[in-house]
Amino acid sequence: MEREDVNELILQKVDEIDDDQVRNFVEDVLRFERAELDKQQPHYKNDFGDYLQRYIDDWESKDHNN
Amino acid sequence: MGKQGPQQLMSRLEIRSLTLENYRQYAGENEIKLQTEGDKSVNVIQGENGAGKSNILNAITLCLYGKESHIDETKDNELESYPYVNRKVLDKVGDNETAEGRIEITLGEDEPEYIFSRSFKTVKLNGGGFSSTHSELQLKEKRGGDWKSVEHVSTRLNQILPVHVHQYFLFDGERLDEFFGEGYKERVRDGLLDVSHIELLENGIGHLRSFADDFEKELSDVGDAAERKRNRYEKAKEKVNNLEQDLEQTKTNIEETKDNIAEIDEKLQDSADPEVRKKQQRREYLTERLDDIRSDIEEVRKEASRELVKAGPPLYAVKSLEYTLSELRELSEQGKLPPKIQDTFIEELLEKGECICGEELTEDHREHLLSLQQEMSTVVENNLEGKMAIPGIQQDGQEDVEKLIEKRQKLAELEEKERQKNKELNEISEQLKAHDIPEDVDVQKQEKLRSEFEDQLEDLQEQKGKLEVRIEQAEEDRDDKKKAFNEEVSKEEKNAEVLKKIQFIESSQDELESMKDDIVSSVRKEIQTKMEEYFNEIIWKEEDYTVSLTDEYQVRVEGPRNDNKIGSLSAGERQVLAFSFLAALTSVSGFNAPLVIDTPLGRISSTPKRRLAQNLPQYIDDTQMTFLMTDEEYTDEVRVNMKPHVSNEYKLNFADEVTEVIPYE
Amino acid sequence: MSDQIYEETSPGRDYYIQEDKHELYKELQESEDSPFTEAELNEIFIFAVAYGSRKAGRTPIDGSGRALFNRGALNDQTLWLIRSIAVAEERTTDVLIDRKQVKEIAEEYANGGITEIHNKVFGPGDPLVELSDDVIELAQEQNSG
Repeated sequence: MEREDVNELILQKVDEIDDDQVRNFVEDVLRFERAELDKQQPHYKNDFGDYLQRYIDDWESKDHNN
Repeated sequence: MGKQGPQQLMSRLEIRSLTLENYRQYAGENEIKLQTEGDKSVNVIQGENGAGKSNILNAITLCLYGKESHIDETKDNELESYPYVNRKVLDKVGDNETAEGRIEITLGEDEPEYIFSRSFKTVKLNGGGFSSTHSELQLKEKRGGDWKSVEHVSTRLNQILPVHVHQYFLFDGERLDEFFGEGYKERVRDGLLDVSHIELLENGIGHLRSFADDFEKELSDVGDAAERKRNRYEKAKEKVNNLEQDLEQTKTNIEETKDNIAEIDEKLQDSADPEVRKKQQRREYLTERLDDIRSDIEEVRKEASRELVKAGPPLYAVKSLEYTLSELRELSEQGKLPPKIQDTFIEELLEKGECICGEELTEDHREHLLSLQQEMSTVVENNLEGKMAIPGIQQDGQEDVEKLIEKRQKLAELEEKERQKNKELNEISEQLKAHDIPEDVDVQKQEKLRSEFEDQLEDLQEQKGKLEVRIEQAEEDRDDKKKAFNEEVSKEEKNAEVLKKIQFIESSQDELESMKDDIVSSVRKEIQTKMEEYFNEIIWKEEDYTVSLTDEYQVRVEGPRNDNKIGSLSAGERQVLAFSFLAALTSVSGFNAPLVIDTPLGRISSTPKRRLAQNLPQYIDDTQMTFLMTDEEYTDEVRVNMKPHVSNEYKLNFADEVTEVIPYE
Repeated sequence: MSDQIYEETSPGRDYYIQEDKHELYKELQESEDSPFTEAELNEIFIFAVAYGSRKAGRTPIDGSGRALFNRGALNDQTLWLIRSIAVAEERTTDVLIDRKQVKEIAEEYANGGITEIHNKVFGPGDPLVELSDDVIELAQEQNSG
């Protein structure tokens, strides 16, 4: 039996994200969360930092009004 | 593990065998083979309750999750004195000595793949009591032909059948109709959230928030102004956090208070006085109905609001409309039109080619008259239109008011029903408070306590509402302060990069938030669809039912005879409904795990039992189902109807404190 | 018939409200206790226009105003409601040609009306009951009168 992956429904929704960098980042984050699901305090900051580095340079922020 | 397609009938995750060694009624080693073949996806284990039938379910949950899901209300209620190890085995050990046992579950699709095992021991205490403990769950997994010990057992188990989902696969059929009793909406919501994997998103959102916070701290300031703004922002953030904590605490207190009330309800149910029991039952019925009525009231208020928004304008403007209509009609009759020149008169002038004063029309004049005429035409058309449009507005207004009146009447009826039920509830409470017949349960005291808890609950819920409003305001304030701080800080160039990262993280957070909402909504709809499908397939009636699950988690069942609220379904119908819900959950959850159901046909009377037995296996054909049934359930008729689907049949023979598991025939 | 002469004017496409009253509209849309939670902003506006014409008064917009929605959101029926209010205000259909003024009259009634509605909804009492009682009474008056 294969390793559990993120629920299909969630993956579908992720695919609908327009922004490429945000989408990839979100996918990385969710895969991380799935893998660490039953850990009480997963050490996410390092991994998140890595993911962020992959995409931030190519990202252009749209004007946020909030 | 995604959902298995219909083409893979053979490959379903199954319990291949269950081994009970010295567990409760099961002395020695008992291996129960449960693997199924093809269409025959069902196992039946028949026995009476004292014979250890429910303990088979308990064994599975004890092994996998360290907890027994169904505690028999036997004489030995204290867990300490209800030992894990079989009594007969315990007889053979001396004081302060231990006896051991274990439970082993082998899972796999076409072949054994996982062996979960957990051992336990019971110490026989001096003076006759017992103390039981169990050890950690162990797992061996077959990889490449070899059996290997798995280190992170719970992670692995969570991938197959997570803790919070297991209650939908391994459950007690008799409690099913309780499922849709009071407080069902929370249970429905929890089930829905469980199978939506929402916690994944929630964890992600939480982590991203704190990840962004770290970056915020990195922002270097541009002097006092920025520092001040940072302080204000930090304070505003803290305020939000504190309020959220208060809210969590309040919610916990609410749950605790509800539990306290439930505890008292149970005590009252156990009263020796039949009058007391009757009143308590009536109270529970009324509370459920009240729940439904309140949801209805909300719905009707929404409908009435819609009508009000439509009917309001034409009615508040009624005089203006009347006046304008009469003016337009008058003008029309008089052949007069605003602003004071008649269209026909212009026509004449144009034809004649001369102006009023008699002079010839120049090009300019002509153009001017033509444009006047065009404009007049528009105004004529408009005014004609008004003459027709206005009666339409008035008419629609009247119709909308009629609908509004209807809704208000319905609202009044519902509110009256609510009042009646509340009145009766109060009466019951007063009667119970006045109850002074001495018995086991101090009814008077319990009822007074219960009243206090009810009052507390009301206060807490009001508090919760207020906190929610304050949190919204505090969040707005925090966002304003954040914006001000960011503006100040972005003046410094090196902050630009950090701000960009924060923005990126926040955009991702926003995406997760909106995904969460979307998913909960689509899962709810899917569960609704499946629930309706299953309910109609299993239910023994000829008519078609509509089952709906609202976004407030209310469940409605409507047949052709109209509104069937949950409260008015029979016990058997509620059981089927609960079953449909659980089956819908398991189907949507994407977990293709085996079902084990204790007393699946419990509350259902004989005729429907047959159809249920017939239909159950068919619609969950890609899942192994193990039924633990009593003699009353597993009648000859049921047996015959199930036969085409059954792979293994066992009987439990209980004698002299030991149960033997014997294959049928 | 009035003596006033109306000039033909073109109104802008947008309908304006007073800047600081935008909050009122939002609150009416977002608050759980409000009967307007499912209404669009233009629907609340129209309600305010009619309500204002009956219960408040014309309140000129203070400041430059803020666009709430544009003409495209309104259908013919709603436009005629607005026009009728202007006609009744000026006591003549002549005003119809001055489309700018027609819009202004509506905006000013809405300006007064929205404050009253907000007070009603967020004040004591059940706004759904009070407002619908109001409307039902008006309908009954009309039928008997």
